[in-house]
Amino acid sequence: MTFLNAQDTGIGYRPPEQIMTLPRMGSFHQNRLSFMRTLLRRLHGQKWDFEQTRFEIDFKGVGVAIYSAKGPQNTYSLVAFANDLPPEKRSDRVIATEWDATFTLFDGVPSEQVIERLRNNIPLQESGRVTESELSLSRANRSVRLWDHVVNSLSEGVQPDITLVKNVGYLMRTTAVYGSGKFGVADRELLSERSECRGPFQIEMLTVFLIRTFVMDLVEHIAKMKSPKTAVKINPDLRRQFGIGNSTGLGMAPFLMNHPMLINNWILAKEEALCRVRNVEFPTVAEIKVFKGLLPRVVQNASDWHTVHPVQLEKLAQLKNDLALLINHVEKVNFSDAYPWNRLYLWSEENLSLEGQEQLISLIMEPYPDLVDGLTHCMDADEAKGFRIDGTMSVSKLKSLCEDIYKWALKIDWSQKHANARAWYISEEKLEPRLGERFSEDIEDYEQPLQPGRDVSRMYHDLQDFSDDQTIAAFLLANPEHRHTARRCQLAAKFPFAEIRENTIDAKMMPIDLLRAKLSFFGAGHFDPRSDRWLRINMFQGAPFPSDLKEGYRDDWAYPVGEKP
Amino acid sequence: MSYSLNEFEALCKKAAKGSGLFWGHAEEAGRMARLLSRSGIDHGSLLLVALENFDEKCSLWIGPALCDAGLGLDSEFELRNVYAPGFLLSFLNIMVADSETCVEIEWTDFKATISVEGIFCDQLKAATIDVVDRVVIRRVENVSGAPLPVYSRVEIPKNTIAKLLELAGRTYAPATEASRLAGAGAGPNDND
Repeated sequence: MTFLNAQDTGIGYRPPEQIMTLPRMGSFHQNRLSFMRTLLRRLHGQKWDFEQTRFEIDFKGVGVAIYSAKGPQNTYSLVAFANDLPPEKRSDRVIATEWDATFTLFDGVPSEQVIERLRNNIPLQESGRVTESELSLSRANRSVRLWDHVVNSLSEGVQPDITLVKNVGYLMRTTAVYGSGKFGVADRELLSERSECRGPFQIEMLTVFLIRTFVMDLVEHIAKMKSPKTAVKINPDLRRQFGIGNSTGLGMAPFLMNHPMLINNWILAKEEALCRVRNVEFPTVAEIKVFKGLLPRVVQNASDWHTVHPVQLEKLAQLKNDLALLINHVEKVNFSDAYPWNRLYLWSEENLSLEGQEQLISLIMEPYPDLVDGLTHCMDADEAKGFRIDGTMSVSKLKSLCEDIYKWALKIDWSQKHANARAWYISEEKLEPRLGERFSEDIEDYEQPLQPGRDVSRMYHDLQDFSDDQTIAAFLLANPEHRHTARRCQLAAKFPFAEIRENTIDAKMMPIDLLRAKLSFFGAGHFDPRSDRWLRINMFQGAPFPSDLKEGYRDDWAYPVGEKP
Repeated sequence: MSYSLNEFEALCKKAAKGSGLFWGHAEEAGRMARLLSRSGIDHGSLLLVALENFDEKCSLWIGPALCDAGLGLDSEFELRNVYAPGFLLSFLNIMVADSETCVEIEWTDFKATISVEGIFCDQLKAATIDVVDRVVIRRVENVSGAPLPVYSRVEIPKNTIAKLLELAGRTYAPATEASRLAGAGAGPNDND
């Protein structure tokens, strides 16, 4: 492999105007930088030890189980409380009060006294109280149709039906995984000195990874309790086909607007990775082989991806078509000519849909762990550093930042109803973000600051009343209502991928695009929108289990292998 | 009952917005309340004083203006009739965060120095006073006094949390059947 830097080749970053649009963000795919893959690479590389230290679950499926994960410096324990939930109480919505199972990731090994404290609080979730020894708070519900099928099959001594397993993909889906100080769990800054906690969402990903193991143990345990003499375990290849589902709604959507510096660092890492790969002059035979070997596997992945949502169905059809075009085109690519990945990428921009373009980016990163994986260390953010407003900036400078970063917003006629159709607010009922209709619901007074485009337009308008050489300090003293937006604008000037370049309150805005952008960075797949504002996904499907991490670990687990279990 | 600092900051931000501040000021109120609590100085009570007296004499109004302007801090300057002056400690803490600057702040029965290393103070008793006649801020060569410890949890007094929750509650839209149906949530049956 020969690598030249971007200055020599002219192959640089894609511009923010191209990347930070909702349709493209809603077409992102998992890649080498995804947080689930980062986690498993670490657990494998550092030879973490895992142990089920307690499993006290009765025949109804009620009880407690504990799994420990021991790294070089620290031990973490998943404490799981299983419940016998009547079907009428099963709800994925955030307003639910009971679940099939609840979890926390405990910092260390819990004593009996601690387990009792957790037993009294974790099943209550938000209504309970936790301490800084608890690092996450989570709950999950069964997929009833797959759960019953798997329990019945195993108890009768037969393996579950592979088609049904693939169609559903999980036995339980989490409906929330809280971390970072939420509801009293430990703050991120408390753990910032620990290398395994520094990357984004590593605590949450470890929680879900251990939940997956617990769920598989639980279903086998219940099958055995049902029929001790005939029950069998799931065979290992089929076991890997089970991920953990996740239902995600609007609660997650504002995250991307509320953490501009963090989002910049995620996108920048991906764009840097892409730029590095496009600058590879002559890939080796082995690198080309890795890429070509993945093509049938992404075809398989698209074929395993089920949804009934019309928008995603259309995108999925486009992706399948894109992959057929790509495979055909790759046959014609001369990899001996310089910069074949760059040529392939440029071809995709001309010939593939956004789904296909973004899928290709993930694929061409795969042969390059040395170029890509180190960038995972650049994906966290010290958000405190972007807080202070530079009041010495001139009015003319702030105006030019608005014109540069938000020119799309300055072109919008905000007096039009469709441009202002929605408003983000927090509902009193469950204290979660919601998206309402501004002109038909009584919500405008409760609007959250999640429409940077409109707010910048308002600030830009008011800036016209000040002379160019006045300071922002003077402007904000007279117009304190723009402090939030001025801070945001200055931040976006320093971090090019911090801001979504689109109207987040437009009548046709699709919140699921925001959700998918974030979830793709988690490493989720098989996005299955259930409306324009919530979706289900699968996490860790195809991934090894803790016991498989030490020997024979393969980092490409996110791509299906198509083997027959 | 202990709260995480993130939780406390989020609550204070909402309470500030609920009391009528603009979002930008509310963000600053939340962050400064967090810094005060992290240093063990105050756990929400002083925020309530500031929010009840939020005008150009309130530290939550003066502090952002001070931060924006920078003021050079070359010489001594004073502020008159300041409500909840304790928040100025947090603002000064942010102002010196990326510099070699060291500042001293003083009012009746209270003195602290602030540098990139944190807040140094021997006597915290008057730090949470509601209002003072005169605050003096001056640049100094070195810090003096004991460094304040750093806490990772907040113990909010019961009457304070009740008031903060009440103010924060003003930022929430009452639920309606329409909003429930149009909300994030799943369908009527999740027994799939």
